[in-house]
Amino acid sequence: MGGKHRMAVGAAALGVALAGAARAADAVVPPNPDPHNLQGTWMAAGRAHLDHNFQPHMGRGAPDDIPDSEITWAIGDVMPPFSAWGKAKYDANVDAQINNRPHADPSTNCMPHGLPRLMIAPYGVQIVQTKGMITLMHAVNHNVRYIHMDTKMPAKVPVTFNGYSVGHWEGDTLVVHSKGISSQGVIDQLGTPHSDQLQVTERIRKIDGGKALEDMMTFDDPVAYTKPWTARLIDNWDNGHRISEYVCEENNRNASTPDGATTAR
Amino acid sequence: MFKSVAAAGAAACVLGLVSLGAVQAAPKAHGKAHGAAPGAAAGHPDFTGKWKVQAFVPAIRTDAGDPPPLRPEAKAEYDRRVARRDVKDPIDSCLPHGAVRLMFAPYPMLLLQANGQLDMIQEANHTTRLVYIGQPKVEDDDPKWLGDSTGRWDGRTLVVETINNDHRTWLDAAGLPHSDEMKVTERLSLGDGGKVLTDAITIDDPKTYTAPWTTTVKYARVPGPMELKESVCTRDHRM
Repeated sequence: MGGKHRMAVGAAALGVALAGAARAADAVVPPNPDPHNLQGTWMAAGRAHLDHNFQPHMGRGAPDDIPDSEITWAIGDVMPPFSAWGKAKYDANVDAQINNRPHADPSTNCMPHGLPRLMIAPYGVQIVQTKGMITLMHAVNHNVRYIHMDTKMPAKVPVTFNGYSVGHWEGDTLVVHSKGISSQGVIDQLGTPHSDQLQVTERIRKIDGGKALEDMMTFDDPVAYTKPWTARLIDNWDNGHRISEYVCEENNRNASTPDGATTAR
Repeated sequence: MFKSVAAAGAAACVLGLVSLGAVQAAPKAHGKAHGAAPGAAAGHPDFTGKWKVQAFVPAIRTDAGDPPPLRPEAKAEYDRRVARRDVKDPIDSCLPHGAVRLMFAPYPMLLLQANGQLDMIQEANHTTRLVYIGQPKVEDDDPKWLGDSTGRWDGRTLVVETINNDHRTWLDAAGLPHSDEMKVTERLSLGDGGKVLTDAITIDDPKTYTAPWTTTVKYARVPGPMELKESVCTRDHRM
């Protein structure tokens, strides 16, 4: 899908006068300069996967091997500060990928990607802002995140894949705190692990004149890591395109085997 | 499906009681709310809220109370589905409901009206349906499970047209069929001081029905916070 669809939307947004000149890839809806208006469609930059040599391609390779669009760990280390538990899980997941038997994460079975993996998945997200909440509707397998604004984190929240999120503005930065995140999920497609103690604090702001969103994600998980650490994600303004329909359930060829590996080849 | 989603809700409640262990203090909210864009332009009703159908309708009837006017070959297919003869309800395989059946799903649904859209998020398998208001129809595109929906205002009514509807969806739990050429026109309005949402749905599908027909569904507001349980069909339904 997409080609014709995007063209049609692009032409619509440009208006009649310019429609004839519209091409699918052209900017059709300029970024909104209001730093507190995040509405519209954004495209996650980067690829949440290994490169062809199975080198971690999440900012942990050589610095010049990392395109701007990749997620980059914002800490000085090349590896997150794993605990022994975290390192063992990470090594097992990487070994499984190298041996072509990647472990299933929830998205393998068409379940929600889970936070923070959802934010790293290289698909579009549409943000809408209504009274008291900011909602993120992701293209990939119709994942949804709700950020409840200016309210306290409840004392107890249900454990879910995508967690429970509260947010507030600090100047032009949206600060989002999330917990209640199922340990079935992972941080990235490589299998960087977390436990159900994970809490995520995101500092999200527009950069580059509103052409991109920067999401500084801090992971605080005393089970998997010895100290909190931070990753930097970028989402690019998607020019008014619509998010595509994505139905994992229709054609799930990569369902996991009973031993937890995927059937992907 | 219905049992499984209910079970998922129960499971989520149980999980909610599990202690989270080392919990750090939530960041203090301060400053005033920013960026909450008004849902509706002046003069237009705002459908934003948490809604649920007033009653579950397993088999749709027209507003006159009649069975929808199926063509003979479509009636044969309908009967096969009703009897579940060599056929499985698509949502039992966790496939999307489709635009029409989604509006009958007996679970809470968030409507978010902002940024020139009316976005619908149905709790059942976190299904999202987006209506683009004031934009031209997406003609000649691929069929989609939830179609392509565009809206326009007719006074205080939002008229939503949906095309490109994938024929594999059913219009109701019984198995009411439709073709890819179905055009759906909905008239959404608020009543009873904003407490009731009404959706009058007209099905225009000459390949399946002898005439266009209309059925109306009403919703009540669901009290409580604007959130939904995390319903996950492929987990809860053990497909």
